Amino acid sequence: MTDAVEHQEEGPRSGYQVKTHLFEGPLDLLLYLVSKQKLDITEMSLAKVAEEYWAYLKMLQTLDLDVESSYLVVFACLLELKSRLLLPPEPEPPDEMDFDLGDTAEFDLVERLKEYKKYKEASLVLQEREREAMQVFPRPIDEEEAIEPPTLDVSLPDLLEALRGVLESYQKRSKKKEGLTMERVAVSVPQRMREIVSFLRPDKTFQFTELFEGEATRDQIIVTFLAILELTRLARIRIWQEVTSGPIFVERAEDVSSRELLLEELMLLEEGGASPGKKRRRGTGPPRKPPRSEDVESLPLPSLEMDKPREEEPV
Amino acid sequence: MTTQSTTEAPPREHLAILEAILFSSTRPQPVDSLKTLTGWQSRYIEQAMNMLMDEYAERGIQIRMVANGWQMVTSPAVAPVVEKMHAQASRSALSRAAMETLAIIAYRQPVTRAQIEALRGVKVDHIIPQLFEKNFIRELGRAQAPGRPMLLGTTRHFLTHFGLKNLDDLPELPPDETLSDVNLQHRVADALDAAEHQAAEQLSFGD
Repeated sequence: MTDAVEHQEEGPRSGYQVKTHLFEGPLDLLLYLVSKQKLDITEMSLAKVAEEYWAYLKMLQTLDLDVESSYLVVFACLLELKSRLLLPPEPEPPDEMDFDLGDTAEFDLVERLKEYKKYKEASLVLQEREREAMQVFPRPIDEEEAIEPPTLDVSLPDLLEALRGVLESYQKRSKKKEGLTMERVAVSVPQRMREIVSFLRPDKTFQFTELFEGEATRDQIIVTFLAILELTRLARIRIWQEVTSGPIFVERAEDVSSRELLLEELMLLEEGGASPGKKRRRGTGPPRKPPRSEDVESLPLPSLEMDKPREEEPV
Repeated sequence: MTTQSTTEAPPREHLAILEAILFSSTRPQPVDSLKTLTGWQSRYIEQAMNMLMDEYAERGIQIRMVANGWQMVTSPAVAPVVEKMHAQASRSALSRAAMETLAIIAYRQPVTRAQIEALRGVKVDHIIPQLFEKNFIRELGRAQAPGRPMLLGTTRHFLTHFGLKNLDDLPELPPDETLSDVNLQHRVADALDAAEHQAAEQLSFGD
């Protein structure tokens, strides 16, 4: 798209005039043509729109196949829509076959246009918010600091890498103890979630790996990992790192959003009023409680595949 | 510092402490970090912050809630003058294409590049790296789809830059143009008439 079409942007936003206008793709062009007729999308005069659309297409004359083909696809859809509307409607359309503009998969142009329009409008509102936000000035931030904030949200690849590290160190450990018979300790994900929450102190930050200390089996490592993911999703804990690929830290999220408070209360109810933040020594790993089936079932959390306590069985 | 009950109003010294923290930090302070610093309860901190915000209402500096935290900023009322001082700073606005793409990511996250392209009907290869560079978007993970495409979402910096408290604070999407079936049929019938009429006059478009 190298050529620009000059026209006056018309519409309700009179204080915001754009003189040159480069269309952002076929939907944008189509939307403009439709809005120029001041008609609803579903009422547009197809012949006129198609004509102007074709005129613009001829003017474009780019050799960029990607761009041209995307315009042509939409033009083809327009032609189909037009030809269909030229046919007389079926005298008695069958009940289940409603005369619907978007009844074929490749021909949902009207739907697409409506959806696009929604986000286009949203982007204008967002732009307005940005303009407002740019009217206020915080104390200046160091450029370097701005690019690498002290706390980064942990990216999924980093998280998986950390899990791999834990599993590898477990494998090394288990090789040393060759010939040892181990028993599976049944810990469910919801149970582990509660243990983690009570293990974490609000005023302290733990390393990701600390949560896995004392894990005796591979299953338990996975259960702990799933519990961490679930807690993060529920915003009960926060995981972050200082630099990309750096160590991952875990801390209790103490937000006061209503959702958070509700969860906190639910949690307290579940634990029978027991204090969730009892002081525990660091580094020994959270203590385990024997699994009780009613605990698992009464917990109002989405169930994961591994949330049933396993039968004890020798490996 | 002892914990206060939420019934008694925070004393001046406590407001002074929060004020000092906000003044000396450049980025929004979330309630967690204020809790860690002061040892007070979240509700107490909120209450104190609201008092502080009220006190600042008429000043050249205000306290705003942004990106899940509190931050001191200059008041919008003084913007015309203060702006001049910051004119040099590159606070470039986004292009229209980038803005649309960012809006789609913000509202639809997690979203893949292909989904954005389907929505906009145009490629966004050149826009995504720009948004990454401006630290507005980040990878949320990979989709369970062929090629494991990247799932995109917005960053904390996005919230700060757009002055949003959190993602729920995004302006509401314009409502769907809801058309009942009956309504749609009427509209289609009208469009049909119009098309017929026009087609009679000018059947040839294109050469």
